[in-house]
Amino acid sequence: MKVAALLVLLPVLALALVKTKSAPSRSAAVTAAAAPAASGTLTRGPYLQKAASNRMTIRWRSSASVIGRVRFGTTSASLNLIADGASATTEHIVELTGLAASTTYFYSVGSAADTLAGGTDFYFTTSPVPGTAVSTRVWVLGDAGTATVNQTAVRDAFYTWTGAQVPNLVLQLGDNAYNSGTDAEFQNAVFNIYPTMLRKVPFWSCLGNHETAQATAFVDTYPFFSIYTMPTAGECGGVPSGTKHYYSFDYGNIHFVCLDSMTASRAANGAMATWLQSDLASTTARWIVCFFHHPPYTKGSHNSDTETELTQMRQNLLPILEAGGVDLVLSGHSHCYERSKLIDGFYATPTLATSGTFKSSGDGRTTSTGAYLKPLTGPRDHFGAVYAVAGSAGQATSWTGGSTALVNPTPHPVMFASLLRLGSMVIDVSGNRLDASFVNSSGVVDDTFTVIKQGAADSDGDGVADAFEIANGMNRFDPSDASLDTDHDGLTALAEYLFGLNPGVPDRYSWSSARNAATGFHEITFPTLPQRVYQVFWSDDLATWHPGSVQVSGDGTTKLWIDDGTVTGTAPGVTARRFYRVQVGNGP
Amino acid sequence: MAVSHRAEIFAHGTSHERIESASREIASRPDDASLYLRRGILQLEYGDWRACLLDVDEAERRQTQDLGAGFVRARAQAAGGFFADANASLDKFLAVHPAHAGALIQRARVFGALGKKAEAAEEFVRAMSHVSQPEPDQVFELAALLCAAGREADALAAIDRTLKATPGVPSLVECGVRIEMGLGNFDGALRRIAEAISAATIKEPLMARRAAVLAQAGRVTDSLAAWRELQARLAALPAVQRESHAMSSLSERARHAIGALTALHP
Repeated sequence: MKVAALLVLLPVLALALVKTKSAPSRSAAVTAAAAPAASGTLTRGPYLQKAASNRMTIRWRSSASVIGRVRFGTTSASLNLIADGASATTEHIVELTGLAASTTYFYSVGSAADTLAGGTDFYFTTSPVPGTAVSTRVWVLGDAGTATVNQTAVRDAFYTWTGAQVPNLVLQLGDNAYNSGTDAEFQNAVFNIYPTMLRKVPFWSCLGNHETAQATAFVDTYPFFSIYTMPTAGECGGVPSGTKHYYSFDYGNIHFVCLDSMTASRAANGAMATWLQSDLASTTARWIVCFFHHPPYTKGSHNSDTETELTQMRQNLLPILEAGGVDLVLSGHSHCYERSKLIDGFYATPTLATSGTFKSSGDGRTTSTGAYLKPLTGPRDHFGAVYAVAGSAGQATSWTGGSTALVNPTPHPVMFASLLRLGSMVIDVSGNRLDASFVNSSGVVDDTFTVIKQGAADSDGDGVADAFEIANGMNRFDPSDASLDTDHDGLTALAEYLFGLNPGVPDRYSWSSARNAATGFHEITFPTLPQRVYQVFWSDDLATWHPGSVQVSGDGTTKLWIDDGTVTGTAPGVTARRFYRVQVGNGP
Repeated sequence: MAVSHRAEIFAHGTSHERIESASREIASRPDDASLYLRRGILQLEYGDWRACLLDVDEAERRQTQDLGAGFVRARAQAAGGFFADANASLDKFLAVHPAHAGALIQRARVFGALGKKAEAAEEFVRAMSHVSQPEPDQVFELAALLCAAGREADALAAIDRTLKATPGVPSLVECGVRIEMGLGNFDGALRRIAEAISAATIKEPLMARRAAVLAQAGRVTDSLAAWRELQARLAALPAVQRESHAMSSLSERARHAIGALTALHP
């Protein structure tokens, strides 16, 4: 087994070596002829960017200008692979490509002459193959960049809370470095605060208003864009955006979308909106998480009913996101924690409780009113999304109107939770389940909610899955068509769907009941389909029906139930007559 | 001289709190022109262009060096709908800072608002000459101005230049398709989509776009074939992809389109 794994791994690693060493720069050749230059000291990083299943970008800053070198390998004792930077610089950006998915690599950074940083704590794990369902932890930091004890308290609380479970990625919701997003401020508020996390977990960020010092010009000259390396060409999943301002990437079965609510056009027909439509139309990921700085719903230190960026994101971008099946939208800007119920269509200004639809008004907790449920298959537009404002990772200020109460006295109408408390969010995704937690600066979880995906989409709630309605020319927004029998075979469209029949062709469900001559028992066989539940009933008088089998979930195979008298009390041959029926219903 | 509007007094908190903080700083240093300008920018960000103009007046009255107040004044005037005044302010500002891309873009927008379509397009082209790698958002705006000035060919050329540097960006592809369609040049639109399909990893959304354009071009038979080709491709996808939201939605569109086209031309 170990040999087989090694045989697979070696060509992949060899490819990484070839790709990164394939184009040595002229300056590299000159340096190679002389003694290699030393890097001086490490002044920033290392930190990870642009992560995917087959690549990782490693960045760091050195005091001396040299050609950076990353040594890496799958054990800390054997960093047998090398990737060099393109030219001498103090700002090192080295891309490792051709990596194996879901694989941990250890690394060191430095130059040909020295190693500035490395060891057993310098490692990263590549993303899973896109589409793969793996347990994923995401740490969400909004407006963290105060470089104060508030920020470190939130950090330390999360580190203690998560323990040995290192998150797979970190989302920064903007305002990462107060006050103007200068390089020095980023050093203080990001690189000096999270050094151990930055070296092993990729940080992805959107642009906040403090990254631009409030400027709204759509340019790349803000220090933010020199510090982060974004996937502009779709190299980490999603479609190319052609810009650092907004982009998307995949992690397993989650598609992440980062938008620029600060400087990009927020028009419904603008470049960002047009790209977003294409991106959402192309992803087949099970989960869609979007993040941008300005919250579409808030009554925190900002008011989403009166401020331009917030209003425009809500009115112009949210319809695209919700039509695209978004599950969770994360924002900052307001220095508080607010979390909505499962909602859809709240686009109006001002936002009233009647502006849209509450797909669930519960708390989304499995221990209380239940998780928020969304369909697993089929078109998932407008089944609801949760909107969270997590802008208190560095400070908690006040509510709209000036109150500093722990709970907002006049909360936003779509919100379930509104807390003025320092903290950060954690998103855990495992298969068809998403759990979110708000971990405050004392390490206490103040809020949780769960979204579970199950069953087939059924937009009109008539029991017939949308996919079946689409495939058979029905209207997935009209519940009355479930009772039609267009092929006049005595079965409604709902029955045809449950049995897996064709509503346009007279046909029957092919189950059977037969006596086994050898045993004398009656054998009931019936074909099954996924997302259905089946149960056999029996009767001796056609009036009173009793459950025979237990309820079983369909899986595409034919099931068998034998009446040997155990359940029915008497063997079939003893009674004069016995009737059976198979009941089919929608299942998870 | 490069004009910067980086501010150090943008304290945390709400916009009102930040403005109040700026006001307190002005109270302590009432002769500092830069403070008025910074508060003016805050006022403008908060949507109060009148208050911004008052602060710009105060800043200009006190300034001993060029702080770029003219550009802020122009933005406030434009926000208030005083486009002729904004134009005059930008003329003065650009006379001193002729390569200020932001001001050139602002003047192009002002020209557009004044109905000077040709000047707006030309000004934006001039602004883009100072940008090494145009962003999709800028190309969108440039293309809109050029089309408004009747220069669709120049708009398409600008899109193609950007696509050459950043291939496969769907927003730019779509922008080009819309312009071609506006000109009635369906073959041009289809050529652009075909190029995008060949380069795309996920081809299905673009296949749907192609089928829709064929229908709009009146090529019903070709459109039906394109929708059916898409249907066949969707049917061949693994279940986990086929049952995704995106592919289910495309399947629904294909089904509806085929039904409608078949009804039109049975």
